[in-house]
Amino acid sequence: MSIVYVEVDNQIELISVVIDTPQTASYLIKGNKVNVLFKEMEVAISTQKELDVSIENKIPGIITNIEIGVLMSRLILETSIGEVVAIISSLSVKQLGLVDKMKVKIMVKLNEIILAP
Amino acid sequence: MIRLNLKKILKSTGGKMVLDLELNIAKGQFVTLFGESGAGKTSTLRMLSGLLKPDIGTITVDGITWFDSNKNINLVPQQRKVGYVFQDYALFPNMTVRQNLEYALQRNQDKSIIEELLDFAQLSELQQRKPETLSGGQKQRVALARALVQRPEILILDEPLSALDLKMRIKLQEYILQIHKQFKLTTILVSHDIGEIVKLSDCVFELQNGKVIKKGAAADFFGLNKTSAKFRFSGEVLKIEREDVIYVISVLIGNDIIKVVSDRTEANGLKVGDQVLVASKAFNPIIQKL
Repeated sequence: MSIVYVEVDNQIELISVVIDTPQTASYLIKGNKVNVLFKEMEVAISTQKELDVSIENKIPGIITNIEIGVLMSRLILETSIGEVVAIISSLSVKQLGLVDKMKVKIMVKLNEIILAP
Repeated sequence: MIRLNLKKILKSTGGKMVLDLELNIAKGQFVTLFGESGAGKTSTLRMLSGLLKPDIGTITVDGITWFDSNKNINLVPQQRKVGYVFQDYALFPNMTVRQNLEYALQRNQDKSIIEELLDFAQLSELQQRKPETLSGGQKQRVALARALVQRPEILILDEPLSALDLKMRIKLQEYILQIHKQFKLTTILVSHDIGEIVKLSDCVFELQNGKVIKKGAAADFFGLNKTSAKFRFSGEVLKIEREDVIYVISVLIGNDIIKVVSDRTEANGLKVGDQVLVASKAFNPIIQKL
């Protein structure tokens, strides 16, 4: 198992845990380029700047679009590493009072980050 | 080991194409020739089986020369230990299942192979039936059995399952793998179905304009190993349904239908029948003893 630090667009460091090691996967070399994938459904949103929470990856962003569904909602967020789509419950959208142009934190646990060499 | 080193000028309605290839296939391997129509896949197989004469080159199988343009060696198809299965079955319509198999017997060959194959292919009960009374899957089982009558060492399957529905295809894929192992064959498949190729073959050669442009182990070939995700399958899209702000994609993987929730960015790029990779991290699935 390895914990991998990936610098994205020279801006933000994302952390991933993979069961591979440099011995089992040749792409795990410092300086090697990888793509980083995570699922829209695994993105959490917080309105608080500092939050004690065991979610390793936190990216600041601004909500640029909200599409509210009956149960789930789709948010588009502008971040320093590009556009991120988050799908969260409409309940949370309401509870957090999320609206367009709002500054938020996007959070993804390290075990949700897939590396694609 | 099969070693092909061949050149052949092919003329078709689209013009002239030079087939120029070097292929090495290890004994006992299951390989697939992949590529667009007209790339030279079928011509290659016809030259291996002796149905088409190369212009120049050599074919050796386990050290024995089957074809050598310099030495004027060209074994006739009957001398080459090759079984050939076509997409359209190519069964004799006026003969029963048993007669179709018997027709493939070589002179003085022991007839016990017929019983063995009828039994193995579960065709014993259908042996007196004519092809027209059989389903597509049954016909292809007869064609596969007939290809094995002469106890070939090489089995050539030229898009054998593409005329069959999905369920039958999956059943016959299992059957083909069973044949490949049981009869210790070297099998060469032509297929366009990525799920099928990955499931069946050890190695894939991609042909384009008569040349091998890419080769590799099946999973690597289609990029299925190019993510760190360990929970990973390839399958076929069966259904795409919109629900609320998300999409639910049903994917057939082996005999199971799984569902994947997807955002519109992926869903919009998919249609029913597409071959897809489904992947998740090894950390996510739960596992329970049954």
